[in-house]
Amino acid sequence: MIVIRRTCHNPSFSWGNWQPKGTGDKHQILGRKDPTILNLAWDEFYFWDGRAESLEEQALGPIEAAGEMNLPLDKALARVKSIKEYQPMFKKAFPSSKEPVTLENIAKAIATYERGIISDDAPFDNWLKGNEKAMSTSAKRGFVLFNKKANCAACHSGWNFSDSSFHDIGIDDNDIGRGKLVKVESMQHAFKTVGLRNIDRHRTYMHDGSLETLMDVINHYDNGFVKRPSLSSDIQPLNLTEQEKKDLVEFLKALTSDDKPVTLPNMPM
Amino acid sequence: MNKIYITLISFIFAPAVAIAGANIVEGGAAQSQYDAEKAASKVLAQKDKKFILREGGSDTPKPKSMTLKVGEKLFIVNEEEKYTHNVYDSTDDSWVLQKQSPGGVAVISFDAPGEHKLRCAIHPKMKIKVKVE
Repeated sequence: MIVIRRTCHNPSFSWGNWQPKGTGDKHQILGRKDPTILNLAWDEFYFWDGRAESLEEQALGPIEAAGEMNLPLDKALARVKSIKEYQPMFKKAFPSSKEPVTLENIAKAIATYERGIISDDAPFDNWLKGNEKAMSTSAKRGFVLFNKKANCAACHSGWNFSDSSFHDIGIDDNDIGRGKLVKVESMQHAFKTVGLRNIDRHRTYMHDGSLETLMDVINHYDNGFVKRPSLSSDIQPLNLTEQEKKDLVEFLKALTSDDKPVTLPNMPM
Repeated sequence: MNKIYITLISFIFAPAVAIAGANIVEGGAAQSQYDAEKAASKVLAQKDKKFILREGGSDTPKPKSMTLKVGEKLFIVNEEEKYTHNVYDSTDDSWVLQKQSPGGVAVISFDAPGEHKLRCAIHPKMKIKVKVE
């Protein structure tokens, strides 16, 4: 019904953006990487700092944010109302509304579309179902490391590999993240734990997009983090061997599903 | 004695509704109180990244709300095997417990009626509304 901003949330890159940081109005580079919108239907916190607690609340934020789409919501509403092809679509989606094209309904429409963006089975899932050949031996070793020595599962748990927690994982930048919202020391430099489904399609990693490969990510957690008072107590030097690092990367790659290609609709005019 | 009295909110930033003071005890003193009083007290346990309310001999997992009387103690206890928690008052960020490692104990009471939304900063899905009567 409404097309998500595919430049920021590109299905080719697991519904995120391969670039390190987002691009906003007048091509300005934003402060954080565009987060994925994959598998968000079960989440409760949105944006890297979790400042929205529903997809409906999140949906309109980037539209009006001066640095992002920079479109006042009254103008956004007027623009959608002026596109005649949207009228019957909104009427069908919101049959009890006398005037179905409202900001509230636009938010609901976007949120409902986003809830349908779900990853399919990955090699890891097929292995869980009993297909021993679905994952390599290296990936299977990586799964054990993920749960034990590397301690990734402390936060990356559940079917989407995120417990929706917030941590300072020691990225060396000045962005205090959730610390702006929650005046608690442990929230300084803290960001949301991302889900790991299709993670190798993100291309750049962490809230600032500063890491370019999954191996860079593993090296960061191994001993590349900044030590400061707010650092999560779950982050400790891991002393991983080179083989163990490769095994972890292989496991992470086994979380990528062969999702159906997304067909772009004709835009209502 | 490791007793911290937190007087909430300076007059400059006082909200429209007065917020009650919270009395917090942590560390060894809290542990001693817990050992002596836990059987007859209300306990908010943290287990598997969830709150469990323990009162009157029964456990309620993921409670949405609970009530306390003015001055009544609530023990907040980390019963995890390995996860750290960090409970604070998300109503106004006016107080926060020290990060609680597994086994950590704190006890809190409130000086006046009111509502407090307690939340784990690290795992904000863990939340409960405490009504003080």
